[in-house]
Amino acid sequence: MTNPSETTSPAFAPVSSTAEVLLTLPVEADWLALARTTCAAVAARADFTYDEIADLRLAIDEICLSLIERSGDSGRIELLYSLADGAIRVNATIITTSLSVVPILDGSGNEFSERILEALVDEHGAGFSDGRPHAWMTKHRAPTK
Amino acid sequence: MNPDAPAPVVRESRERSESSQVAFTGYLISGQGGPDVADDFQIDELAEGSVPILAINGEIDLSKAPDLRARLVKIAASGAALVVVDLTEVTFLDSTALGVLVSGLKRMRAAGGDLRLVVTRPNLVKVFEITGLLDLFPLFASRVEAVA
Repeated sequence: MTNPSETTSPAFAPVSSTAEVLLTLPVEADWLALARTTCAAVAARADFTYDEIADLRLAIDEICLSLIERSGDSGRIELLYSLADGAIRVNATIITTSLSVVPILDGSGNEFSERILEALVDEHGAGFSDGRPHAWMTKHRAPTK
Repeated sequence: MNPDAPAPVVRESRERSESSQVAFTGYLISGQGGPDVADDFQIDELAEGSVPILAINGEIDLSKAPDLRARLVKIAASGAALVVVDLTEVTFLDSTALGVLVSGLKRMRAAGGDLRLVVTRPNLVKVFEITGLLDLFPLFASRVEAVA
């Protein structure tokens, strides 16, 4: 009989090395749940705690919301989840076939969204990457006691 | 999401390179809306005496907030003096949901009424804390306390 303590599921084995997951979604509200679920799954692989994963689910939702506001609910959003050195970084970029559907940033933002990101992640920002609306966040795993 | 609508078809492709990068691309070919990822969202319109109660299950995000907004607008238009939004079974809410709740509160107070929230989950209490909304919304532990 196999000792359960010696059995490790490859699907949930902790990841300590660098890893990246790329997700591309339509810029539509109904797909936000998949962005959250993916973020949680990637963070779980790196041994983030339950509370940290809950924070990350909300933070990635706010990152995506900021881009949806800028894209006018059209085009596609590319999310690159990166694990390295005990941290998760997510780079989110709007990808569209027509630059005309991307309005110029008005800089107003969402007050609640900004407060949430300030509280839940270590670093975040927004701007343009190769002319495309871009937002990113980084959260470090809490040191183990 | 309309349960009678044709199920969305998702096509996906995966690539794996030597640098352990995984690429996943999913998009709709037909149907409306995205995938039903833990999509158990539901709003029940109940009452505690004469006080309307909105009891919500699931996750409130950009895709679900318009439903909540419409129900709060309807209740405010009905002339109710108090509405209670029960978030006990809500597992997630984002800034769009907060915006809808704040709008609902302002609408009720403009008519001399009030909107009260039932919130017990620590992760939701945390969202109200970090956004500074506890000053605006006193959180109640039960519907009975909220209507008292």
